[in-house]
Amino acid sequence: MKYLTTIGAVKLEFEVNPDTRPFGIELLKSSVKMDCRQLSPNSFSLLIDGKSYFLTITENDGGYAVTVNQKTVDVFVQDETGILLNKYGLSDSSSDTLGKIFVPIPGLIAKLFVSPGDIIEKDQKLFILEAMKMENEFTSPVAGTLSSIFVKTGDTVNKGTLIMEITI
Amino acid sequence: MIHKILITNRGEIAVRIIRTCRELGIKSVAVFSDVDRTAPHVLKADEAYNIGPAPSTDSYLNVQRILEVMQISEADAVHPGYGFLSENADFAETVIRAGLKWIGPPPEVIRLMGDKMAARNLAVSVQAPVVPGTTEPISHIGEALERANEIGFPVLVKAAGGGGGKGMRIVTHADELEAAVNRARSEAAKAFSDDRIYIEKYLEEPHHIEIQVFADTHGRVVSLGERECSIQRRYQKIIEETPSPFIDSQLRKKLSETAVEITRACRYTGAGTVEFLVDKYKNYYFLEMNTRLQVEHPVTEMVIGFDLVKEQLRVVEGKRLSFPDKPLHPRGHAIECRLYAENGFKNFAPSVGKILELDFPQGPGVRLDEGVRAGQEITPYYDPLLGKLITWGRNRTEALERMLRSLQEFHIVGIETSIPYCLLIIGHESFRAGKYCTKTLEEISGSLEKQGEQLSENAAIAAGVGAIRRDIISTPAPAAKTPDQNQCSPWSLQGRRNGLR
Repeated sequence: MKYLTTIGAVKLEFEVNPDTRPFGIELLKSSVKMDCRQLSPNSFSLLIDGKSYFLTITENDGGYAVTVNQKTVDVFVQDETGILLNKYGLSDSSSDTLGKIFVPIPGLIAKLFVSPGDIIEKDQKLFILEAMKMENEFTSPVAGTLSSIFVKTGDTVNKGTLIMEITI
Repeated sequence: MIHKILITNRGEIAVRIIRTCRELGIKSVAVFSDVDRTAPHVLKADEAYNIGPAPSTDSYLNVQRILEVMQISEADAVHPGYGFLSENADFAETVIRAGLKWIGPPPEVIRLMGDKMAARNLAVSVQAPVVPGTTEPISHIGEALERANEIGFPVLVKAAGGGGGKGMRIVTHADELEAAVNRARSEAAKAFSDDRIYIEKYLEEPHHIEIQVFADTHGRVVSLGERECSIQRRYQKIIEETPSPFIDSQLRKKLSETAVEITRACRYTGAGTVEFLVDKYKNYYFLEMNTRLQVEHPVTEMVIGFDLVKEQLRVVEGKRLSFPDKPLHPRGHAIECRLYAENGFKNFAPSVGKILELDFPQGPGVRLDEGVRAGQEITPYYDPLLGKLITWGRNRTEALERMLRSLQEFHIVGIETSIPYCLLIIGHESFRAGKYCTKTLEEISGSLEKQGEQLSENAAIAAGVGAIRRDIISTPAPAAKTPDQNQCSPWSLQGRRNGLR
């Protein structure tokens, strides 16, 4: 069975042999030898042509956060069905979550710099979240128009709260 | 003689103090908030008492509850660590009035040096250079503007009771001054219930260098050398080292002498730190004195070979300091990385959650002062410092290589940490060359962020394979398959259960 992994702009195709799974994973159009072993719920050892990698893998927004050599990347995995769905434009597009601004930590909305209808530039200051006794400034990851704000100054918000939405 | 010490702190510093108590056969008493019942300091201490709900104002700053624990536990001394009540003169007085020994300088010295203006005046009285700036808190924005123009932009807006970057703002243009003053004021009012604001000169390529001082009750005051603390984010230190690669022996001597004079002038006892700013022309200015043990004290311990907590206890017991009479020469080089629960690549956003897996680095020249354990929940209530990694080497290169090696050995799952960021800083040419100032991190952060995203081709393949493997494990196997064909061992089944929790 074919699998496609996406790390940023890098896409790699793998062939997974169902009879020997989960060990039989091969990179398509390549002859590298791989040996992948699970060490604990979240850590794996991988030998690629003898080179040793220690991986930490946790689930993350429909994909996996993979740490290798102390670098963490988001990896999205699609199997054959997923690849086909994607080809015919049937899969969920992830772009509609891009303009949604969530907070990664609980805290207090100390200040809002923008209001609905504002044209937002990438890296523009959006709001200040007070958490761990620090004022954390949040900037926009995208450019667009601010369509709505779901909080007001002084609100206490939980981890994962949707703060505002930017239409790209 | 001290028999039992109450430690009014948490995290790595509480654990570090407990370790010294153990070595000396002194009983340790921990205090904990509701969310810290199973934190390492509680598990490691001989006794532990709950002092209230999670917010620190209800627990670690709750003097009433702490007083009760002093009585219940029959402790004969209090070690405040750093932060929380460590520089609270009223608390020190309360401890002394309750008949216990306070492991720190006398309350009046804490009060004096904790007031930035009083400390500055004291420094001036012993001819120590100070940064040009306002000597009275500014009362209104018009005055702020006038004084800032006299000093010359850029200026630094800072709070009287401030520290660790809270309530501090750099202002480069006059039109930004009002907003900066207001924000510093509001942050300061909230953080330390004191909204007095000062303005001072902002220095060129400044280095943050501090001198560890120690004074006993027999009139002896010593300098234990400097710590270079210029790698900072939001004015908070991340990496410290000693000796400083920036200063020469002549400047080292001047800084040490100035620090000792200030320490003597304020009638200090115990461990203290005199902080200086040194600009690129090697002009140095007294900044402030921290009247407590510093977070970064281990780098000094590594190169002088003395346990500073033991020396603190000697001073409190009225003994003489055990440092030799001749000037102390550091042996080798030590570097410390602070490990925070935060993502250096996402504007240092704090990370909370449960630590699912945890492996610490080991091996030659490595010291870890940790305050967390596997299975622990990192909450948003306290400082996000998880611990400190300190490496020692015969020279700077060896200490640096050991730091790179041991940072790579860390394995933490469940929360984001500053480890990847520290690795890139330590590996960066400016750090390797020892050519950096307090502005360097800000200047190189863009290039660090880019590096943080780059994976080698093989590493990308590895990440892909791992993610597929993990995806297969977490996706239920097709019904037709028997467990045998899936090669599911009892171990991997258990692993899957653990993964699902």
